[in-house]
Amino acid sequence: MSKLDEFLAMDIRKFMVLPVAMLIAGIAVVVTGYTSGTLPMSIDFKGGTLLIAPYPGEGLEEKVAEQLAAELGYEVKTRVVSDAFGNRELEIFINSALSSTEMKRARKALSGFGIPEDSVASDIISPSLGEAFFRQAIYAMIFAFAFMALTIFLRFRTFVPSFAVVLSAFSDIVVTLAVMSLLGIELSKGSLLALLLLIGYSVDTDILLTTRVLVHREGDLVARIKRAMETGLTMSITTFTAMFVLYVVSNSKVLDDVALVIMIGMLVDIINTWIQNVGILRWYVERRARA
Amino acid sequence: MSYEEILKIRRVQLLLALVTLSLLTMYVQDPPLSLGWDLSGGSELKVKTEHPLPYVTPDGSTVTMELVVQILEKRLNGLGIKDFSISPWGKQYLIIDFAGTDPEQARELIERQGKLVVKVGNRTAFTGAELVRIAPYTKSLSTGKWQVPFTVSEEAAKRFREVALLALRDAGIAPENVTNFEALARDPRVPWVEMYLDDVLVNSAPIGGSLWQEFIVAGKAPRDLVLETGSDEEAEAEAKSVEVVLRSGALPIKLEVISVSSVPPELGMQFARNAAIAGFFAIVSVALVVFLRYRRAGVVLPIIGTGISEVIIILGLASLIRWDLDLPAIAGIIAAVGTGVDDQIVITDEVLLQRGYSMRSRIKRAFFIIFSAWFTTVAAMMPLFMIGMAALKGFALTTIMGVTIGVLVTRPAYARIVEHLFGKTKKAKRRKRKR
Repeated sequence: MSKLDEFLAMDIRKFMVLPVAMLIAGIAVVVTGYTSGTLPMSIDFKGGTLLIAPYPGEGLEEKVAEQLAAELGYEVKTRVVSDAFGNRELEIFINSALSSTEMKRARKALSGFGIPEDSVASDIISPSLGEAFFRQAIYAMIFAFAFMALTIFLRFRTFVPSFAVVLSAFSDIVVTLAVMSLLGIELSKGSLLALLLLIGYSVDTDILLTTRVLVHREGDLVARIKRAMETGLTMSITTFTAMFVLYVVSNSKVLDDVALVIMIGMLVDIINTWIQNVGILRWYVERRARA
Repeated sequence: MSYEEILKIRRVQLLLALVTLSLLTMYVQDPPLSLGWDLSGGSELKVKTEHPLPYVTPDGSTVTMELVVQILEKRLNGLGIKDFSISPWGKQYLIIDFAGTDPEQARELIERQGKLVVKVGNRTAFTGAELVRIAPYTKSLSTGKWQVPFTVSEEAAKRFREVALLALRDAGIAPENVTNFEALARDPRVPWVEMYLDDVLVNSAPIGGSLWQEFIVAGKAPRDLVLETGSDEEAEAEAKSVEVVLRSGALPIKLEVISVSSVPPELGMQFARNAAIAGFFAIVSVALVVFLRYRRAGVVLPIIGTGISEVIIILGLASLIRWDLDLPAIAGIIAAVGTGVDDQIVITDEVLLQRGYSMRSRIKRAFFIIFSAWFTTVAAMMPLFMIGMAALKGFALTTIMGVTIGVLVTRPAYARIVEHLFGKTKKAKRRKRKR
């Protein structure tokens, strides 16, 4: 008997504590983060300025931040990003949407560090646009989730299994958001894309599981779950691997955010699908058998 | 099982035909793929109008989106910006893309409404609407200052003279008694000409002695005037900006620039190159994972082959409809291919692991799962596409396009390949055993 068989032979329901605790903690983190306004938000949603400049040289990033803060009178943070080929850029975050005269001054200040004015990428978002984006993002998430749930209920037409799939997707999103918040990963255009994708990836494995267990009912339950698990884990691992490569190789903020958040989501999904959803389905099938 | 047999499968032929068509499309189109400004380098401005358009102003005229676009086109042309595009988005937004990477100047030009009001004392002489000709900005030879010469209508000129004479009387000077016009020009009691652009004083200067002479003695109202901005470098830029704004006419509605983004071409190319390399290595590493799982080249090659075909077909379609590929769109392609690989794993496992059932039913079962997954992905992406956060539309489009091409073309082709590879091997083995 392999480790997996041993694991599946056990009463998996007692492990349900893990996903349930995870979901409750996740909701707590997200709700307190949202109400207290401490969820890390990128300038995409709160407005502000991001400048991307060629790396000015060892140890200069702090001086750049100080200089810009002194010149503009706003809070300035910097971060060094690098790709797999040794290219390095300095990302400069300014907590205000710069006006065109301020932007000219910022470019001039950067040129003092040997950064040519035309080599600086800029992204300025007004707070009102950021707010509008955030509202749209919330709508997109809610509708995406609702449409997905509707599709699942129409497809399986039984309440408990459909609910389990939707719960697993919900838990994936919430826990991923919570982990992002704890790790300080900002909610941005990229991470929004990732969360939307996560809805898709999350239900893929659940659909696989539910179909193998409920729709195509042959062989004993544990064997069906085990096969679904082999297939599903392969799917998750390939996705995780592809995102890992993307994260390492790419140096664009959007793609990095997408990759990182999907990686987190895939890990969360493994617990939600193979412990929580399996637990619910086993309970459901066994109860139905007894009835 | 030979490759020739695989090539004879209808579904595979369809796939190959689409791949060929896509490559041909990209070959014919110039450039093969149009890249968004964030990959090719360039700038993007998002502009919000003060009111949703069309809007009826208090004085009864109607402001349309077309009118605003026309004026902005004139201004960007005037600034010498090439290859720009202005796309209205909804009723209150415009998105402006162009190749240059210094968006500040364009931004200033758009934020200026361009309402010129010329006053003497506190009386209005004329407004920007009464300008009949605007000359290119130049440097005055006599004063060394940058200036924009312009011509006003006859009525405006007359009104200018009347207002100037009234101002003189207000200051307690009777025009008919003036003899020394140069002294009058320097007299501190005499008000200056003030030019306001959008309620900001841009130029204020005394009326010159010779102009007073014309006003008073000749009774004439000259129509050629100048707006001076100063003598330094900044004044030159300002003069250019003023010229462009006056030439395009005032915007009938206030515009607010709500977002400005620019990416230098070098950085954009680096993003694009890294994304392509990441895609390549992602495929290689996924191939490795798939190989570790199945240990057969017969599974790995078709998975990777159909995955690459999918990328080519998505790019071909994007090329055909001239869709600007931006970074989110690339994320969408990666997502679609990722889903594709997942689906192929489902097909493979159904075919390889459920040996007890007929091949048809195994494939059917796989497709039940695949179609469910497709429905949910499209359902999850639809709101993003419809709400149309402009920046993320590309992502929603490539994802939906990718997964749809997947379920219609590449998954069926892959299923048939696997069916032939493993379905027939069994029969062939059986046949061998019989012998």
